[in-house]
Amino acid sequence: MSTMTLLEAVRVGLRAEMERDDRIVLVGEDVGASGGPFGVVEGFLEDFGEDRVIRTPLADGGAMGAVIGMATYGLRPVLELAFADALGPGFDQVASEMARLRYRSGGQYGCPVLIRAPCGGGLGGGPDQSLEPEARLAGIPGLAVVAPSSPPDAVGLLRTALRGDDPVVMLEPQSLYRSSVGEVAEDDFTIPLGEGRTLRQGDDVTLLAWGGAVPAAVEAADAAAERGMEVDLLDLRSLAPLDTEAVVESVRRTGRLVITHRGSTTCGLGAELAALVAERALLWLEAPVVRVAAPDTPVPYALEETCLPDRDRVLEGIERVANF
Amino acid sequence: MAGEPLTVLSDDVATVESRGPDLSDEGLRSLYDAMLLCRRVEERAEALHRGGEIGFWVSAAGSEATTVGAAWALEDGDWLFPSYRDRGMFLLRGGSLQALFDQAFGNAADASRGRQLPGHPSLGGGRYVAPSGAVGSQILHAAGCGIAMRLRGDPHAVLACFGAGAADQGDFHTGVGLAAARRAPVVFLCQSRSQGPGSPDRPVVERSAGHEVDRTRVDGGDVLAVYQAVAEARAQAAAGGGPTLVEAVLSMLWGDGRGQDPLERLRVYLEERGIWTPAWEDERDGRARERIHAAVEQARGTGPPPPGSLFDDVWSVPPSGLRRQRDRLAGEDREATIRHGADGEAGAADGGAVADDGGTGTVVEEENR
Repeated sequence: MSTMTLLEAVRVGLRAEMERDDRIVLVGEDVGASGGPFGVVEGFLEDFGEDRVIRTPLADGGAMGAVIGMATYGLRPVLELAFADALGPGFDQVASEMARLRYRSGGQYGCPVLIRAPCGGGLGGGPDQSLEPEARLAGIPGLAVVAPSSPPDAVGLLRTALRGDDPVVMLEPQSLYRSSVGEVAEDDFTIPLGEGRTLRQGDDVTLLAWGGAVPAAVEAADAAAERGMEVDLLDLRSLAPLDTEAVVESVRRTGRLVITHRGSTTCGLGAELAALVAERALLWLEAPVVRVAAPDTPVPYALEETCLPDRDRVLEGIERVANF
Repeated sequence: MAGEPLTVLSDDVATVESRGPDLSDEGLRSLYDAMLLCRRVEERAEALHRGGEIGFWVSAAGSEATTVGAAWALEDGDWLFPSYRDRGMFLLRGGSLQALFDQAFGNAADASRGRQLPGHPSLGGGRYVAPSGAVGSQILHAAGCGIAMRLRGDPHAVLACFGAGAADQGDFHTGVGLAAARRAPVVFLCQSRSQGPGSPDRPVVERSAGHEVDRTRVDGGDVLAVYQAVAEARAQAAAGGGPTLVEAVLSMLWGDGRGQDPLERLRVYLEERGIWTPAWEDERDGRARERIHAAVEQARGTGPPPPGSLFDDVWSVPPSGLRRQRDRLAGEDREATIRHGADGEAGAADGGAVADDGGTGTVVEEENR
């Protein structure tokens, strides 16, 4: 066991995979000596050299397309974005090319790319560096989306992504890079896609969270317990595919559901989860489903804390469904 | 500034031999034969489209010199990222006529189970990487592939095919810039469909003057010029000399007096050289038509892909949610059909006979994509 931050976990996990598999190359606009805007890949250029650490021009769509060609040829590129917002310019390559190549070619070509995307608010990044892109990505057929909230999850999901044959976007919550600290086992564990993790067991209310929304969810669940409400807190971790069985099982047991996420509310991933529960657990519900998400606004610079869901709002949601 | 595109073909044998590639009689006749086959494929496919038997078919008639000349210059082990009009290269890279028409019909024998629009086949191993319907996105894939090739010490090259319209996209400039910066072994082949004399279009070789790549502009109706330019660019790329942009200027208006049929241009030369006769042409033409006819008949008679195949190849391992959707669909009492466009007849197997007028008729042209 070693104790480390989420940022260190990504760094250590990626470094080990690059040492294990020489097909893995690191690609990005800012992966040079500085190690990226957050320093995740500090030292990689020095240690792996320019053949394995490839700096691209400041053209997000361009880098996104280039890694497709690399993966088609047989490499396993890891594309580090400066911020998840860079998915915007590269969206066509991700949604129409990367995720479709296997389908289009009848399995003649795969596209094993890992896109690492620092995402979400919490660091005062303003509207253009705080994107939570999960809802835009999770509905793309053939694209896996994961959102770790802890160091071991980051390592386990990273390994799965780099050893699998499909494209994966890993949403790395900027706000948790240094604040999320945990123990990572020494063994070569992996975390399968589509498998959530129960952070707290309870029979009163189901609470779903992932990525940067997890700390507030944990705090709210703790506070709820002090008030006599036992929360079943599920960190989904994998957003595409989703752990639908775990969600349905939990809701059928508790009859009450709160979903919290830091992306905006309308057409957010919470809507998909609510629909899932409506389809498969409606008659078990004792209260309307509650979503505690960001409002339908961009994430503002000054009023970021007002905008993003926090412990108090999640707790209020828990109380609302518990006391319905 | 770009001058006139380079031309090799002429009706003077000595001129061609002095400036053209060194090809044997047999090689030259094979080139012509391949171009003829490509032409007949386009004509047949367009007729099938007009008859409602297959969906949208973006014609490549008139571009045989570029298609065949460029593919002829490739070697085994090279990678090809085609545009959606380059299916002639599919045949030259080892794809069969049967596979091409199975793909056009979207039937059960198609390697991608009828998922792609007609004329979008694919071959594994880099021989013909499944083209997408987007404009120019493959230019970046080719650049990335070239970078990967260089990293792995692969002595081959990559050919990226696209139209002049794609050269307006940012992907073009980023892809060329990226390949140049890493000296990736890529040949960028731009097919510029000229609107004729006086066209306001600036040559792509001029519009890309800021990039550190070699640039050359050739007559896209001249198979020998295209072959020579692509072969030289390919050799330079494979030897580590960096990428080249080859702009092949095509006159799509051949036949109306302003442009010339690329087949006819090669034929004139072959005849002057004494290796073409009407009898030989008739024999080859008949053979091409027979082969196409057989492939069409078989493709027409092959049923649609199994319904469940629509779920295959989305993922390497399908997640449980997708498996559930597949199982639900399998429970439906529904027969598989093939739908060819908005007004197409459903059901490939019962497709009625369509007159093959052998002409080019009116085709929908999407210029310079």
